Amino acid sequence: MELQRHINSRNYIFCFLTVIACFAFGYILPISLDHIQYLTLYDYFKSVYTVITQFGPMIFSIVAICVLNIDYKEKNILFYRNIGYSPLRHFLLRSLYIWLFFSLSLLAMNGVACMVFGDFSQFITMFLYYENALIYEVLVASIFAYLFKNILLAFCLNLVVWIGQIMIAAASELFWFFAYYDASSKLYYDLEKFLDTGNTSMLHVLPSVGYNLCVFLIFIIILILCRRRWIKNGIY
Amino acid sequence: MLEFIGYSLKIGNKELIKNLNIKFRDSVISHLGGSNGVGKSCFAKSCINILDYEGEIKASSEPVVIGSYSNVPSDLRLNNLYVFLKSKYENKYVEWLFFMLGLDTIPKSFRIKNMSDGQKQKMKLLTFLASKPRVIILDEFTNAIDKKSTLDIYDFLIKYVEQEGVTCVNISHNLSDIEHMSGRYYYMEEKTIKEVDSKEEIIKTYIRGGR
Repeated sequence: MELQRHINSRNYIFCFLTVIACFAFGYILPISLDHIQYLTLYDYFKSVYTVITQFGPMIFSIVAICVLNIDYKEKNILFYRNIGYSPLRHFLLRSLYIWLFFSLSLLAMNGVACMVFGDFSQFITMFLYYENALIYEVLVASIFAYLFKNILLAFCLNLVVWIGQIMIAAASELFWFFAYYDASSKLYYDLEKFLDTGNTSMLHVLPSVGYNLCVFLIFIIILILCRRRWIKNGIY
Repeated sequence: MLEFIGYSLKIGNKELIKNLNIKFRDSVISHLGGSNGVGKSCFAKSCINILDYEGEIKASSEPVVIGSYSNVPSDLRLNNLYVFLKSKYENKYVEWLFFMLGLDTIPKSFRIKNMSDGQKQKMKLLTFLASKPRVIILDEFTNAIDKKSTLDIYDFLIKYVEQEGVTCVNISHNLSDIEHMSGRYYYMEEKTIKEVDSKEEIIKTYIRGGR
């Protein structure tokens, strides 16, 4: 039923368009801003990753928040409660499909990029890097979508937290994990080194998965602690 | 059966109901009226534990509240929801409800958001009654829907409540509900709910704006 809802609402189109936008920006920005004459595949990968991590909290979050918030807006929460869904199940299912559509779009566009440049050697590595950043951004946006019925408020708080995280990480090296995917982070720096040198010890896919798992656990705890909010947001 | 024992309801500093002791019966529609802002919807919401209350609510099953805040996702098609409900609940029963509500006249590929308000209310009835609840609370259910749909819903509710032997509380301002569906009558005012002797008495009370 959830999949049918997403298909009927054509949410996959919005997901696909935002990913296309990221890949388009990834090409346009270095050419127009840095005046690079010829973009290599690895430069393009870096550029797309920069767009996903720097603009993703704005681009992906608005789609995630709008899709997740629709049940509050339409007052569908009692329907879900009646069919036996808990707040956790409801939000996990809704988030899962958004994540799935974004991921399929990333896979497709990454494939197109590799096909255009005729080099699939880093297809999986870059997909995993994009994917981890995407999962994090959708998860954080989902938390705000769950807590706040007002879409604008959820979106603005998401932006404030994103900017706040960068500032905290910049204030002290001890807080580097607040802005784990930001362009100022070690993860980003090591990815650049890997793409420049091919040194696989610079790759941190599994630690990123671990980081996302921690964020996911925080999401679950918030859902459980604020479960009454689900009903109240859905009725008033 | 829906019984309130020593029941009190307070929203913020405003006491809506104080020490209510009342029992709504099975197999009959209990109409509950009252002026605007007296707390009828809050009363309904407290029955499904959305609002805190004092005292005890005894019900033969978890009540369902069907009102303007209990909608069916509008991005579903009729067939999506019908198939889902048949897979989740008793197949034959859902089919019976579907035909009783006259939903077979709507094309199955029709999206819920494109349905008329009357059709949407019928979809709500299908969805919330599919689980065979024993206690149903309708909160301003016939507001703003067309006459034909309203009459269809009246016919359905009268048959359904009697046949299934459920407890049905109909919170409504709509005197047409009282006129078309006989049952028992209650009025909420002065922090309590009292039974009114007859249909004529409750209509007079409404017109007067209180007892």
